[in-house]
Formats: sequence, C-alpha cells, structure tokens
Amino acid sequence: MKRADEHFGEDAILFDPIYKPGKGFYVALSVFLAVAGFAVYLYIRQYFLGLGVTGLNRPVFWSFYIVNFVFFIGISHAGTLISAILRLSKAEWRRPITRVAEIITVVVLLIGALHPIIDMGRPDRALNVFLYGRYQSPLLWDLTAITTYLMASTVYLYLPMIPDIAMMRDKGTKFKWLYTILSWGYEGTPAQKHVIEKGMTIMMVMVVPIAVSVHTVISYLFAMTVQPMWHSTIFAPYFVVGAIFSGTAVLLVVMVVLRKIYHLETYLKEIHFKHLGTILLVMSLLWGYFTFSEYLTTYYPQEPHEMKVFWYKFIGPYAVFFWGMVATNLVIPVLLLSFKKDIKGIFIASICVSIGMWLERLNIIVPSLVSTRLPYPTGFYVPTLTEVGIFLGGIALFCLGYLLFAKLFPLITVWEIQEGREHGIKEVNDRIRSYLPDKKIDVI
Amino acid sequence: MAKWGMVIDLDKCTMCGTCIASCHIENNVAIVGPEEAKKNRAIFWMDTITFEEGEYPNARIKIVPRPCMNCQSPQCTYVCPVNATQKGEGGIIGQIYPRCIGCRYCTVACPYTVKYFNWYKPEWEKEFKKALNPDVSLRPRGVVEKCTFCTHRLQKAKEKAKAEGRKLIDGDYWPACAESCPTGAIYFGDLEDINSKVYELHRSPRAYRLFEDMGTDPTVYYLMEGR
Amino acid sequence: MKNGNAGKIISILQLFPVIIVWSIALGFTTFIIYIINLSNALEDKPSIAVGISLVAIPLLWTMASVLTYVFVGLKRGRKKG
Repeated sequence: MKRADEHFGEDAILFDPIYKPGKGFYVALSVFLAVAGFAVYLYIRQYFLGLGVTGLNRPVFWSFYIVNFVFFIGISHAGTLISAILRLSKAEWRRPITRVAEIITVVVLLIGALHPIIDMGRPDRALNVFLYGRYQSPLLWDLTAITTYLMASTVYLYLPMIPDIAMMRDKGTKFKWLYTILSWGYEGTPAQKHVIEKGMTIMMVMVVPIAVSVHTVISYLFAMTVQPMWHSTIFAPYFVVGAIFSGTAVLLVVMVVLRKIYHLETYLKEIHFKHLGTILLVMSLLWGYFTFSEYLTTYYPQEPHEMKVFWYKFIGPYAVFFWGMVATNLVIPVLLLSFKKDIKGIFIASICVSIGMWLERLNIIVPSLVSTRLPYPTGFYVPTLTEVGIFLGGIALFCLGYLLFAKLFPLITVWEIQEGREHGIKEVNDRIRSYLPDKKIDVI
Repeated sequence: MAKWGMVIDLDKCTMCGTCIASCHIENNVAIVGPEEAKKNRAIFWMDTITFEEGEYPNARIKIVPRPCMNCQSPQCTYVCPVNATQKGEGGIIGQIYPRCIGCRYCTVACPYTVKYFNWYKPEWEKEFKKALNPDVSLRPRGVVEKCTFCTHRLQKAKEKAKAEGRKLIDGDYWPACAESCPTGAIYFGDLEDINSKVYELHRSPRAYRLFEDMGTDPTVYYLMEGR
Repeated sequence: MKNGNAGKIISILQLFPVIIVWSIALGFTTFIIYIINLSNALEDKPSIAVGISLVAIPLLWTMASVLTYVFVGLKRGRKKG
C-alpha cells in the first residue's frame, strides 16, 4: 500500500506530523492537556472564591495576570510582524519561517486576550464593557486593537494556507472533508493564484501598523496614569520594541524545538537562524538603548517619588529581578550573538531573552505599584499557586494549540518553498541585475 | 449646585481613630480578618497616613486622617472602562457597585491609593450583621469600593429638604467621620457657599492639599499644624 | 444524489470564515455606534470614540472585504467543467 504522504514528492517530510504523528505527539498532548486542565480548575476555583486566592493586595493590585497579559500579547508580535515584513521586503530566506511565525501570533494572541478576563474581579459582568463602555478608558482601546489584530493575523495566517490545504485535499488521505471545506475550491489556476497573492499583499501591508498599534495601546494602559515611572512618553515605542524583541526570541525557540522534533533540518537551516539571530541582536541593542534612556531620564532630576521606584528596582527588593533582566536581555544575548552565532548559541540567547522580557514586564508593573506616593505599609508581592498555575496553563495552552495545528496542517508553507525553487532564483537574479549599472548607451 | 468638600484641622486632630471606626460602622465596611489584613488587604475607607519627618534626634511623625480625596480631576474616573466610578452630583466621586467589573484599573490609577478591593466575599460575624446600616448597599466579592463622603446621607438630606420644600444648603448633611470626631477636627460642607465654614477654612493660609501640583484638584483640605 | 448533498453542505460550511469575519466587522461597528450614542446621551465627550472608530471600522471592513474577495475570486477562478 502506498504511503499516505508519497504523493507529496520531495517535501513529504513536511506532512509527517499530520500522517505519522508518532508516540511523542500523544505524550506531549497528554502533558499539555493535564497542565492546561489544572489551570482551568485553578481558574474556576478563583472565579467562585474571588481574587483573594492570588497574591494580590493593596497596593499591588495588578501583577502576575497583567504581566502575563502584556507578555503574551508582546510575543504575538513575532509572527505576523516578522512574517509580514520579510514578505514585504521579498527576503528569500523567509520561506520556511512565515507560517511558523504566523501560528505563534494567532495562538498566543488568543491566550493573551483571555488574561484581562482572568484578572477581572467579576468576569460574569464582562458584558458591562460593551453595555456601558467608555472609550476614554485605555482598556477599551486594548479591546479594539486586539480584536483588529486577531482578525488581521487570522486572515493573514489563513490566506497562505489555502494552497497547502488544497494540496492535502488532493493528495492526502485523512481529514479530506476538513481540507475540502477550508481550501475554498482552490485548484491552482492562474486566476486563483492571483487572487490569493493580492489578498496576501493587502493583508501584509495592513498588518504592520495594526501590530504596532496593539502594543502601543497596551503601553498606554500604564502611560495614561500618573504613577511614577509609568507616566512616561517612551512607553509606546519601548513596548513595541520589547514586543518585537520577545517575539523574535520566542520564534527562535519555537523554530529550534520544531526543527528537532519534526526533523526539519533541511528546511530550517543554519542560515535562517543566523539571520534571525542578527535581528535578535539588533533588537537587544535597541532594547538596551530604550532602557538606558528611560532610567537615565528618571535618575537625572532625582524626583523623590520616581527615585523611590528607581531604587526599589536597582538596589531594593527587586534588584535580583532587575539585574537579572539586564543580564538576560542585554548582556548574555549580545555576547552570545556576537561571538557564538551557531544554533546552540542562538537558542540559549533566545531562552534568556524570553525570560528577560517576562522579567521586564514584572519590573515595569510591580515596583511602581509598590512604591505608593503616600507612605503606606507595603509588603513584598509573592504569587500564589493559582497565578503560577494559570501562567503555566497559558504556556501549556500555547503548546497545545501549536501541537494541534501541526497535527492538521503543515508547519512550513510548502507552496512557498516550491515557488522558491521554481521562481525564486530567477527572480533574485533579475532583481540583482536591475540594481547593477546598465551597459553604456551611445547618445547621439 | 454644591461642591462638597472637607477640611481637616490637623491642630485639632488627636489621631484617636474615631473617624475610622465610625466610617466602618456607617458604611458596612467589611472586616477582612487578621490573616487577610496581614496580607495588606484590610479595607479602610477612612484611613490614617503616617508621615515620618526628619531624623533622630529631630524625628517627628505626623498622623493624618485620609478619606477619599474626592478629586475634581479624578484619575480613577478617567480610566474606568464601564463608568462604574464617576463624578456625581455635588462633585462626589461615586462608585456603582453592580456595574464594577473588578478590573482594578481605578485602584491602580489613583495617586493617593484610596481605593480598596473586595478580594473575597465580605462576611460579618452574627453580632455585626445586626448592626449593618440599611442605607448603604453591601458590596459583593470582586468590586472596588472607597469613601463616598457618605453619599447616602446626602440622598436622605435631599429628600428631607424636598419634603420641607426648600433647597439643600450647607450643613444639611455631613459624613459619619465629621459627625463623630470628638474634637470637631473634620469640617464638611459646600465649598461654593461663601457663608459656609469650609469655605472660610479652605481659604485660610494654613490650608493645603495633598500633591496639589499634580492637578487632581482634591476637595479635601488640611489645615497645617500651627507651630 | 449523495454527492450533491455533500457538495451543498460543504459549500455552506465554506462560507463560515466569511460569515465570522463579517460578524466581527459589523458587530464592532454596531458596538461603536452604540457607544457613541451612549456617550452623547450621558453628555460625555464622544470625540475619542469617534476618532478610534474612524480607524478601526475601515480596517475591520477592509479585512472582511479582503477575505470575501478571496472567497469569491477562488470560486470564480475554478477550472471550467
């Protein structure tokens, strides 16, 4: 009997996760389901008992859930932004990366969008936001921006999937009904190819400003208050840069993991990691520049309330988190990416950045809250099992979403790879030729 | 239209804490219990702030009663997504408990940290339940609350004035803290009525407000201790 | 006969993504218009709701239109016969 994936030719291995899942898939599935299930239980418990089951108090009214909210939404900038920018700039090395990145965005955006509801004291009244909403509140701006981004990234993920889904409908053996529905009758005719390309181009262009607006608006959540070290104009670009930074790091981590477990060494080659590693290095330096600027501006005028927050981070109880952040976001990545730029070094740097960017969100939110303007007694915030469990559940949900996606659809855009083989080289040749000076033309 | 304000004379305040106790009783403020209080979750609509000044041997502490500042440019109102905290009549910043979704944005935006959150469902001992004030609604779990200048007393005073066929005037109502203060350190009234005591006091050279330069425009004034 | 029915069900199910995006686009439009009206009724300033709606609504509608365009275009571009 013919192997199910034999029709797929030289890219057959890309369809292995769908037709030959293997034992590891089921083990991973069970583990993630267990963790996510436990997180759901913890949340239900919180829903009925109240937010008292967390470590939150007065004045640290916001902590883990909002940190994770900003963290997850920040990661969502990975996919769509990088994929869109690489496609727009016609970078040929984007081909195996685009869908991996786009999936990250959609899955993590859904998880991130859940977190404000997890953080609410009365989620059963969530509809009040729609019935009595005030657009003056940055929370409504968040709602609008995240909805728009979710829609944009889902459409932007879906459109390039259509040719691949059609391929599986025609040549594959499983889930034919699903692929028939989702492929929308795609047959590869020139007219259809043109339609998809046009749709993708419009989405590519639209997604970039939408993505920028999302994290800008999240930063406004903090910047629109008068709290010390929150009320800063640098927050909008700081958060956007931080989001792209953390997104690139998570993308690299995902790429390394996928490469290992799905044997994609021939597709996700060292050069792809090297290029993304360069982007990570640049973002790390850019992040360092913004951070330096923020803290110098705070330190110079020695305004007492701001200095209280400043010292809390520099030498106070949060010193370990603050300097840990600097080490994992700036020192280690810059050193690794400058001197040990192989996949292993890039992987370690990316893990460091992922941790460091989470610490950055923690460092932004909690110290400003703890350092109240009026001298109240404040303790040291410690998260409880509920908060940690829900955080791990969020990560498990992300892995779960990814796993399920990999089970149904190829992780690498097969048609884009094939297009690269057939047309890419000629296109690039023509492009380079167009940059070079023309032969001299005799002018009469 | 009135602009209700408070003036607290720090020369008269003995830091006895009666205002805190009476506020608790008047407004059905939840008693969270010692474990929750240790976690910094105690609710004090009227609280005291302890300012430490100077160093030994010239150290002094100043304990100041602190209700909600009732800002006329209220940061909390600006950020509420559902209009649950809003500037009501007389300039009193109110809290609509049934509408609050518990996002705690207002608690985080307040520069004076005067807002409190119900982390669990408020519960009272049997004896306290008998003493609950029927004029003040009990808050459920997961909503924000704060000092409201005893706005339920304002409602009662308005109805009384209407029944008597006259307008509401300064002196018709005062919050529980002002009423119970044994030294009369807390004055309350209409800041726009030039004949009121608060009007005269808030223009005194001893009068100041907390973080005046932040532009929140609080209606709670303090009279500096005369030295 | 069976194929015809299956084909019909598939065609209806294929519409789902388009229906969903238009629901979101139209739903949001309705929501923002409601909020602007509410803001007016409460004598609050609706300026920022109007401002944001001027950006968000065209964006959402454009995205819904792009998806519809691709849907219709793919149906039209099929091989004849």
